This record gives sequence, structure tokens and C-alpha cells, in this order.
Amino acid sequence: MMANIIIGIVFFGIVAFAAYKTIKSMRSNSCPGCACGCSDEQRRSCGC
Amino acid sequence: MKIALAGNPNSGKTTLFNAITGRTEYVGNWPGVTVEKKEADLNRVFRRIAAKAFAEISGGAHSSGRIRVVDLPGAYSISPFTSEEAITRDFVTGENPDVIINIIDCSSLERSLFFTTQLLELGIPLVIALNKVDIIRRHGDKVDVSGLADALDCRIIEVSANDGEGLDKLVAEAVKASVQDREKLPAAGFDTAVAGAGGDEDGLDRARQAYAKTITGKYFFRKRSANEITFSDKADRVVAHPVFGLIIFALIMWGVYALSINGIGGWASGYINDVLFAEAIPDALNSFFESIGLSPILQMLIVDGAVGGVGAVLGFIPLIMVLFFCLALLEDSGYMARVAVVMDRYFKKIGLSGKSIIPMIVGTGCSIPGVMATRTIEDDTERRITTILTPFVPCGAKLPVIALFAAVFFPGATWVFPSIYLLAGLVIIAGGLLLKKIFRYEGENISSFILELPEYKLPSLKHALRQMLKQAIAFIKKAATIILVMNTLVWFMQTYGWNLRPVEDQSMSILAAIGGVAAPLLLPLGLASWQMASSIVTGFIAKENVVATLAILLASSEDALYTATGPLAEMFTPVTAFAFLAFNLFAPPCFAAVGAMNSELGGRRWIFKALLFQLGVGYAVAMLITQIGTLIVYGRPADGALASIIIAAALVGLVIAAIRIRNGKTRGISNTMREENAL
Repeated sequence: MMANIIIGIVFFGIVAFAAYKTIKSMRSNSCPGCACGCSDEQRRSCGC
Repeated sequence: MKIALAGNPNSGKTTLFNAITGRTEYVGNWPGVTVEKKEADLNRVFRRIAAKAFAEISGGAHSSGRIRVVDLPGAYSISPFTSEEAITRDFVTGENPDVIINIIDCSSLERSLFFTTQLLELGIPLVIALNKVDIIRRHGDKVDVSGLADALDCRIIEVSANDGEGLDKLVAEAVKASVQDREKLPAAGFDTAVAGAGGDEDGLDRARQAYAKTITGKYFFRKRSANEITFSDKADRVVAHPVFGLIIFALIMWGVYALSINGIGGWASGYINDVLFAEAIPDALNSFFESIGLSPILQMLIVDGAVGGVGAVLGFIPLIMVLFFCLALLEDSGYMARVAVVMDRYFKKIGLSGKSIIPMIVGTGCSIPGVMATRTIEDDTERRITTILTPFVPCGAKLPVIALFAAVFFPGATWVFPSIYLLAGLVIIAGGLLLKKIFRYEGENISSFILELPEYKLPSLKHALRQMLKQAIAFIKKAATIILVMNTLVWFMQTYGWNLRPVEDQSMSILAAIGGVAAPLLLPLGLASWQMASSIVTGFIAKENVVATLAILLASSEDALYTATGPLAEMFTPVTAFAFLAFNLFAPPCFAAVGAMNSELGGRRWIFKALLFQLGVGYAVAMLITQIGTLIVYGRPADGALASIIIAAALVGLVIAAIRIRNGKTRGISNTMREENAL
């Protein structure tokens, strides 16, 4: 039971953080990672 | 304190910006790479140099504070000709930088000095960075730096941004100039030359040109004659030749892809896919989770959903790294600029120019900067057509899809990647011709394409390694964010039914229900299964998701996804596999690229037209491959043959109607113009 809770929190925590970064990127029309020439404005708004 | 980096295109501004800030912005050995301004702080080493210079001039009383460096798009003149030149004009005239570092390619001194004379007039402290001194030294040419500095009455530092030579002195002088050179008047010689030309703008420009020519003649000493044929000139007779150039380009790209896919990149990708993510990591995770008694459903989610999906994409990193390493070497050597020249004459035939090939070459990495690079095209229609066609170039995100299908259906074949690029080229030409008919008014001019070819040079391994690592890091970040999220969602949707209970059979799942709605529409393409439809839909979020989704959906299979006898081989025939690839390549790109297209096209009407066009092209190409390919290879009509004939007729009708509407408008405009002329 404990293992389920700990692993579940860690896994869904990672997914939630990934979702947060993804949504921020989506809102600024850029890809997470920004290796593809995003503008400074896009970088500022998606925080990467 | 704010330092602006300004200069002509391809003078080395971004290379210098990266060197003094530690950033790794995209650098290309051709003009027009930077289309937006980029800002960053000086890195630690140069901050220390700046602080020391500031302490020297202020006697240690003040500190320089935060120093921001702004990399501006290249400009030939303060009077903007393109939108990115306007960004440079607006910044230097409206945002009061403390000092401008004017980067001059000293092998093109006369042309560069025209812009310098305009910057000097602004009254902002200016330091000239005489870049690429290593190149002129190699030719035995020389610049009288102190004479030139006296003539222009500003500080000039010889630098080589590539090697870092002279950059410490440049930063120190920029800091000193920002304090000591305020309110400085332009040099007397230049003042007189311009004053003599009167107030007319053309007259002033002519005076500036004459002045630049005079001082170049006085302070630039060329060892060889300007008419002397150099190695680059000789090489260009073959490399930039209209026919040989095309053949050389095809052979080089074949070699690059053969090395990436079948060479070390393919070998390493195969190892990661077959050993690491197919066996080692899942086995280790399963053993660990079983030992701690983890719930089977959570175990499946993590191992099959997250690790399986992300791993299926990450496995292609070596392949992508080798590919981008090779492309960076080619670009840095100056070769890609020749490709633009070769393609110019062919692109003119479809209403575009060589300017359109640059966004497409940039788009081989990612469609977003490719779409943004269309800003260098002045003509609106030409720019819009290029924006719509650029995502047809297979970008880095589409490579895993191509590599997966090549490995399963055409193992060992070196022709798959080149044939995909050839197909993309043909689709771009056909699409360009079609868009020219639909969008272009008769009599509109095609942009003139003048490209100053950089000299061939030995490409920098450091630069290529940086580009390669940058792509790899971006790929990992993407896999760890957007792809991980989508994989988790896909796993849930294929494991659970609408009643939120796990389903015995995947075909009862939420994903099957959603994919099942889209699947009949894909019947003429030979792709009428909910799994194929689902992977296509997730691909619109990020193209790598196509591979990740298939990996999750087929995780229960005993054979690995990448094997020729694996689960994919049961879903597709080689013909429909190629059609699936084509649809993913030519249908609308990922959401981020659509966002970039929306910004560049300017308006909902245009983005709607663009997406409709791309969807039509993707659908039509995939349908033709399936229907004609099945008839030729298997000697029988494919499923949905009748529907495909009806759809093909509807698409042709739609195109004819669009052309007729455009022709009607054109005639209307011509008649109005004739009437106006008659009046």
C-alpha cells in the first residue's frame, strides 16, 4: 500500500509537472525545450 | 547597461552573441538566420572584464551593474526593407542602447560601412568589431585599423568571433565607450561627405556609398586582385551549377542519411531500442515493482505507458544527433548557401525564389524557426506560400516516424529517407504550383534573390557538436514533457472504458471509441483502424507521439515494435505503411508549428486556408500511394477504391473552383486598372 502511494505520488508528480510545462509551452506556441528558435517573448512566457 | 549587436546579415553577430553570453542560439553560415532580437546577460568571464573596464574609467567608484546584450537581426540599412530589418531600426532608434557594437565582416568592408555611417549618425556610442580577421589574414589582406578608426572617429577592435580572438578587448572597449563616447559627433570627413550631398535621401545614400568606397580604398589592402578567381569561385562552378549542383546535393544528402540511419546513428538507435528500452529497463523496473508489491495497474502504467512510450521516442536520439551533426557541418562549411542558389532557378518556376529555400532548409530541424524565417521574404503572397509549404519538409520530430517504418517495412534499405525527401520536394513543387494558381495575381513580381555566398571554410567541430547537443537536449526535454503527458493519457484511454473501469479488450476502450470515429475517414488511405487513427491524432500534438502511441497500443505484443515480423507488420502492408508516413509528413504539422504559421500568416482566414490545403495535400498523397500502390504491387484495388475516386473528384473540383474564383478576382482587378488608366 505504502509503495503504491509513494510511487504514485512521484509518478503523478512528474506527469503533473510535465503537463504544467507543456501547457505553458502550448500557450506560447512553442515546443517544450525551445531548441527550435523560439523568440525571447515565447521563452519568457513558457518559462524554459 | 544595454549593448546592442548590429550589423549586416551573416557578419557573425549571433556567433559573437553566443561567445560573450554563453547562449547557444542557432547560427547559420548564410544571411537571415536571426529574424527576432535575442537578449541575454554577459557570461561570467566577460562580466568580470566589463567590471574591470568600468572600474578603470570610474576610478572604482561605480559598478557596471547588469549588462544585457541584444542580438539584432541583420540589416543593410537603417531604412528597413524587410520586417526583421525594421526590428533592428526600431531598437537602435527607439530603445536607447548604451552602446552599439557594430559587427563588420572585414572581407566585405565597403558594403558594411554603409550601415556603419548610418549608425554613427545616431549619436549612440559605437564600437566596431572587425570580424573574420582570420579569413582576410589567410588571404594576405590587411586593414589599417588605426587609420580607419581615426577616419570614422570610433573605436575599432579586430575580432574573430568563431575563435574568441579579441572579444575581451571588445567588451572592455564597449563598456568604456558607453561612458566616454556619449554625445560624440560624427567624424569630420563623413560629415562633410554627407553634408555635400544635400538633404535628398537618395543623395545621402549615394554620399554614404561614396564615402564607404573612399575609406575602404584608403584603409583596406587587398593582396590579390578583386578579379582573381578563388578556390570558392572554382568550386562554385560545379557546386552551384544548375544541373551538377542538384546531383551533388542529392548525393550529399543520400550520404548524410545513410550515415545517420545505417551508420553509427542507426546502430546506436537499434541498441537503445532493442536492448535498453525493450528489455533492460522494463525488466529492471518490473522486477523492482514486483519486489515492493506495486499494484499491477500502476506498474503497467509506468512500464508500458510512460517508459515504453517515451523510450520508443528516445531510442532515436543517436540517429538524430548524427544527422544534425552532419547538417551543422554542411551548413558551417558554406555549402547550404549554395543549395539556396541552385534551387533559386527551380523555385522561380513555381512562383517562389531562392529566399524560400532558406526557411525550408531551416525547417529540416524544426518547422517553427523555418516558418519564422519566411519573414525575410518581402512579397506577401510569396511569404505566405512559403509559410504553407515549409512544414512539408520532414522536421526532426518526424524522423522517428520515418525511422520506425523504414526499420520495419524496408530493413537495410538506404533509399527510404532520400525517397521521403524526394517526395517532399515533389509535393512542395506541386503544392507551390497549385498555390501560385490559387493565390497569386498575374503580374505580381517574384522577390529578387541576391545572396552573398560565404567563402567555403573548414567547418567547426565545436559548432557542430553544440548544435547536435542542443537538438538532443531539446528532444529529451520534449520526451520528458509533452510526450510523457500524452503517453499517460493514451495509456489511460486505451486501458479504461467510458465507465472508467479497465477493459478486457482494447477495442472497448475510450481511445478505440474516439479513434473509431476518425477511422472510416481514413478508409481510402488504407488506414481504417482505430489504432492508426489514434496515433495520427496524437501526432498533431507532437509528431513523435505517433511512434509513442503505437508503442503503447502494441505493447502487449510479444515481438518488439521495431522488428520486421513485429506487430506493425500485421497492421500495415509496405504500401499502406508508406501512405501512413506520407500522411503524417504532409498533413498539418504539430500545434506549435500551427501557432507559428498563424503568427506569420496573420489572420484566421489564412490559417484556415493553410490547414485545409495541408490536410488536402496529406490526404491526397496518402490516398494516391495506397490506391495506385496497391493496384501495382498486389494487382487488385485497395479498400475504399470507390470512395477514393469520389474524394479525388471532389478535391479536383475544389481546386478548380478556387482557381476560378481567383481568376475572376484577377480579371476584376485588371478591368478596374484598365478603366482607371483610360480615365
